[in-house]
Amino acid sequence: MEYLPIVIIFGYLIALLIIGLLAAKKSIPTAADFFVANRSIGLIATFFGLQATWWSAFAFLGSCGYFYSYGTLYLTAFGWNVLFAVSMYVLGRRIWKAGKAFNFISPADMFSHYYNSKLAGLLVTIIMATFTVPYLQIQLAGGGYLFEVATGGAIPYWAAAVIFYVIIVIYTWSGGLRAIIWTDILQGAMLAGGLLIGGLAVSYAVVGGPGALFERMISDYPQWLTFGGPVPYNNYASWFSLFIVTPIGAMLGPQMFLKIYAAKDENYFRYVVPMLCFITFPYFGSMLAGWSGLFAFPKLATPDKVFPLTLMAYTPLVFASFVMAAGLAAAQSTADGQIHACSMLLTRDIYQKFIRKDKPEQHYVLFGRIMLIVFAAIALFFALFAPGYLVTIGAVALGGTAQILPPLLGMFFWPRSTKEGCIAGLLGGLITVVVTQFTPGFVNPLGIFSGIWGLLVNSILFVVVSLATKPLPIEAVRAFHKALQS
Amino acid sequence: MEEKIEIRILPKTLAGKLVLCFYIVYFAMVNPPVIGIASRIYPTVLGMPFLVAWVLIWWLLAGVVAMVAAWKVWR
Repeated sequence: MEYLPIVIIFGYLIALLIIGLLAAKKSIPTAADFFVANRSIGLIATFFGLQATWWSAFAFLGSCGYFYSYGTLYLTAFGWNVLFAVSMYVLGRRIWKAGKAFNFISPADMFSHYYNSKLAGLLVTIIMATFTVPYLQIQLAGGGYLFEVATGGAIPYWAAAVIFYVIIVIYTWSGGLRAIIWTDILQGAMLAGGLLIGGLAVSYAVVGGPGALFERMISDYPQWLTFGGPVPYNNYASWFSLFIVTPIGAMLGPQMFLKIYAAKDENYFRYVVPMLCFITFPYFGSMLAGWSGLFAFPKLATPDKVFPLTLMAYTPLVFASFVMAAGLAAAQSTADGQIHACSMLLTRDIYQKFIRKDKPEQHYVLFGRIMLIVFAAIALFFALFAPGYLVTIGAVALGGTAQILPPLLGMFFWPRSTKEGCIAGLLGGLITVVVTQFTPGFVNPLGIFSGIWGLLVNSILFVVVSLATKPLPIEAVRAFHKALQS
Repeated sequence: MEEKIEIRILPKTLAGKLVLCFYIVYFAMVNPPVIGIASRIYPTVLGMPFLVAWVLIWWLLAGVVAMVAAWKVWR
């Protein structure tokens, strides 16, 4: 029986490789195909592409840890998933339309085009790349840990991390975004099922099921079930901050832009809204797992490990390994999109625009593939040698990418916005995020996360500077909005 | 005279406006300060503490409205 977990994990990894190589057979050597799958992805694949990218290692491990540590605080995830879903209709549809009309491949293409400014595009690229790397490292840390636990320690963390990335690089190198999205279908289904079924199983194994769990929680841990519970962090400010920053920051990551661009049809952006709402239900499993952990392991030093530890201790090894493979899928499905998106940012927005301008398509595809390895190596290095430092930075990752929101809204809803407003807002927002995150004694003032303070300063600067500067050329703005309405 | 750029922020139809209103109400119901009224254990709903049930019921409603909107309203 001891070898079975290893068979399960490697079976999952081989399935990924097969899917990736099948996707590669459909590929053609153009930048549009490698980076945005020729805008040909169908509805189900678009849905799983968005969901699996959105749900990361944090959703799998961190959600249970949050329920364990902070009681009801993570229930805000049900709300933020609805916000994420509705944003797909409000913003995702417009991003897709603009991308198709003007043949955008990177997010910066859109910002440079609308604001008529290479600097604005470059700033967007720098923000996205900078804040994606730490988030990527978190996937690796979670994935490596799950891999190690699922194989019963037979594969150590460092080797797990290397295997994790080698597999991603192979299928992404071969099939580009198409391979990522095809593997997302398997990974998205696994992680949603694993979280829900795993959570239910753990609750039955530890206390006798969800009903008994709620009874025990009410009698033994009542303070976990309302605001102001076990720790001060479980409060309104944290709830609201998570509700705003998490979905916006995740949606405005470069990997999400690429998956939006890749969709075949505009109508998908209304159909995915209910799908993304309902797929939230597995967080009920997180709640069961996290709260069951309170009875299984009442004083864990690392709450993020509560789900794997409870699974391993209370459920059959083979079942636990399957669920762990689902957790690995959560980490991998986010990490592959992030590595690919970062390689695209460097290739399209730096190399192609500033270094080698007029090379054949195949040249940029090859460069993008090489950048996959470079980014994977950087993330691997940080994961193995500087995890603590980067996890601290990871706390601001979503708050950082969320700063793209004001200029994006300006592009779609406020023709008076200007490039100066865009640049001033982004810089101001960024500085505010860093100051309110890292200044001792001034971290998250009033309990509100740095990302929200950044958005506030960013929005004010964006509006004030836009009103004080020369409007964008009216014809260009009109052409952009005409494309959005077509 | 320059032609004005048409920016559509609010939905055109009544059904679209109702959907928008629902989501405004929804986001208010699951966020501070309104959620404070649901921050209690009793009465339990299907065995669940009240706050958990409150969030889940609103989430379910949001999904159903999204389904109706996707197929009937957002065209």
